[in-house]
Amino acid sequence: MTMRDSDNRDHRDLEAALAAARTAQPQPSADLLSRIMADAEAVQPAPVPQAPRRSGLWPRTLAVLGGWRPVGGLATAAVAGLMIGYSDTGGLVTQPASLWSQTEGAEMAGLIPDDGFFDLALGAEG
Amino acid sequence: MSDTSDEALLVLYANGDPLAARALTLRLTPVVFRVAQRMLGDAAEAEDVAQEAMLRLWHMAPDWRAGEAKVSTWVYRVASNLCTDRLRRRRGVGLDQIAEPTDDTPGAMAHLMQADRAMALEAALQALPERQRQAVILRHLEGLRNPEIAEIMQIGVEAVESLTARGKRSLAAALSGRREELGYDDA
Repeated sequence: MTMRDSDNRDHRDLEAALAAARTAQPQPSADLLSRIMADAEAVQPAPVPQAPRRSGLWPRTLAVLGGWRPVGGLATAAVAGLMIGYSDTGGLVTQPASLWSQTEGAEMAGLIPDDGFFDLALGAEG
Repeated sequence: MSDTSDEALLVLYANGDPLAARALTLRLTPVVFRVAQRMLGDAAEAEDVAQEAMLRLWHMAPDWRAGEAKVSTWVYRVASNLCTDRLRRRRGVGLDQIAEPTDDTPGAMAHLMQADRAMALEAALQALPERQRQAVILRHLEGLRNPEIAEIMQIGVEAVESLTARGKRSLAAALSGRREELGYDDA
């Protein structure tokens, strides 16, 4: 037998031994498993109590938009847009100054600090 | 729970889920135990290592950072390090100290032969230098890929390949020396 044949035989024998070892893996005892479970229970943090979740579209939307301040800005822009759209200009805005003078109904400056607006919205969603 | 990943189970465990503790114990303890058993050649010591490794996992669970590593890789690494620590503290196990099978009933010869071969492999593994043994166990008995073994052993992939190659050559030579006794055929 040549050295190569001998090496190949040794390799085959080793592969057979390894394959046999892979199918006959040492197994942990039931006692060991119990002890490890007991350790797990002893060390495990207590469950965190779940806070009641506020459901509804508005709280989730508010969270996505970053809170009430950005939403206040959006609300201001929306109302301003409505004002522009409904103002009696007959098309293109030619007298912007007159638009912004019509503030008595809009109270745009009051929209952001006006908490009442959001209370109303939140209350509507429930 | 059966389709839940190890990482998800660990997060559930850290949040107090009792079923997650059980699932992780059943999944990971066999892994840790058999690696330790093969590294140390001693069931009692392997049990100690397995329990210690799992205890470290339970303590670490609240601090687990998702997506950074596999839980199994972490567990393999801790078990391997614990085994290395133990091996350094004790003297090597001589082949003479491994018990020979005592059943010589006719008809049990094939079983004895297989048992002899398994014991011969175990003895040969125990005779390997620690790092070669670790690499061979992780590669050829646990079936891990070289990059993961590199992470577990904290060495490069090429170093893993070198260790497994040298380890296999040594094992083959050890088994070859016992060929006739172990009944390997030439075919």
